[in-house]
Amino acid sequence: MKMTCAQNEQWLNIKKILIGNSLLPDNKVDSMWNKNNSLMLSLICTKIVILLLIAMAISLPFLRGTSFFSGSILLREDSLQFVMTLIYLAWIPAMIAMICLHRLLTNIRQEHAFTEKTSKLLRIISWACFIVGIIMFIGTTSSAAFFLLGVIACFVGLILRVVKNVIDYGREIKDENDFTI
Amino acid sequence: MKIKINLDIMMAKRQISAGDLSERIGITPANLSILKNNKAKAIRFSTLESICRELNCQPGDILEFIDETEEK
Repeated sequence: MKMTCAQNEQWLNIKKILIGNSLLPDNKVDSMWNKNNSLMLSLICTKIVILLLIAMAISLPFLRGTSFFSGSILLREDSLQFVMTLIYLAWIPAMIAMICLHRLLTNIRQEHAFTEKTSKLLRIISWACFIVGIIMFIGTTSSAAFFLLGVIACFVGLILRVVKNVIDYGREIKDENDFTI
Repeated sequence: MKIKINLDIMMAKRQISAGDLSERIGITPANLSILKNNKAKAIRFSTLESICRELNCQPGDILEFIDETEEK
């Protein structure tokens, strides 16, 4: 929309008045998205997932008889016990990964985003993903779906390793920045 | 470090204390001590400008290049 100089100025004045009366959101301050809100969202989601994991661990045996497990085309009927064992086995590295993720987010919140601790936590999470992947691969004897899950888990583990590498390079840059007076 | 910072000498000459100087320049006392102890990796021109203005000297009075590979 092309406006003349005078119209532009009028529009700017109107905007100033509206912002002054809080009728028009000031982009920098009132925006819904900023990195703090995003961090809090990540933190809340992580806590929810941790609670869900614990709830799953407790309630899984009770789902034995229900339609959650039976009649599914993915499972052979006799391998239910095997699959349950695998799920519980994979629960351990998953829980470790989630707790490390929670610690990671808390660190970032305290402005320790590019430290050695962060690097170490990312390494642990990626190894947990790989272990879950291996456990899933063991489960392919029961159902082909586990192969896919294993592949996905290994992929996520690889991505996290790459993120860790990027963070390491970021640390170097931060160091140089910190020591620039 | 191949570039040595001779802040102490200049500060003694002009008789300014570290806390005073850091306040006048606009950097924290921690950063000033990083500078003095040759731990800094880079210095901004704005900081160098402030230092030279406060100590009334040239950059060459503060920065000295020491060639470590030179065999004497």
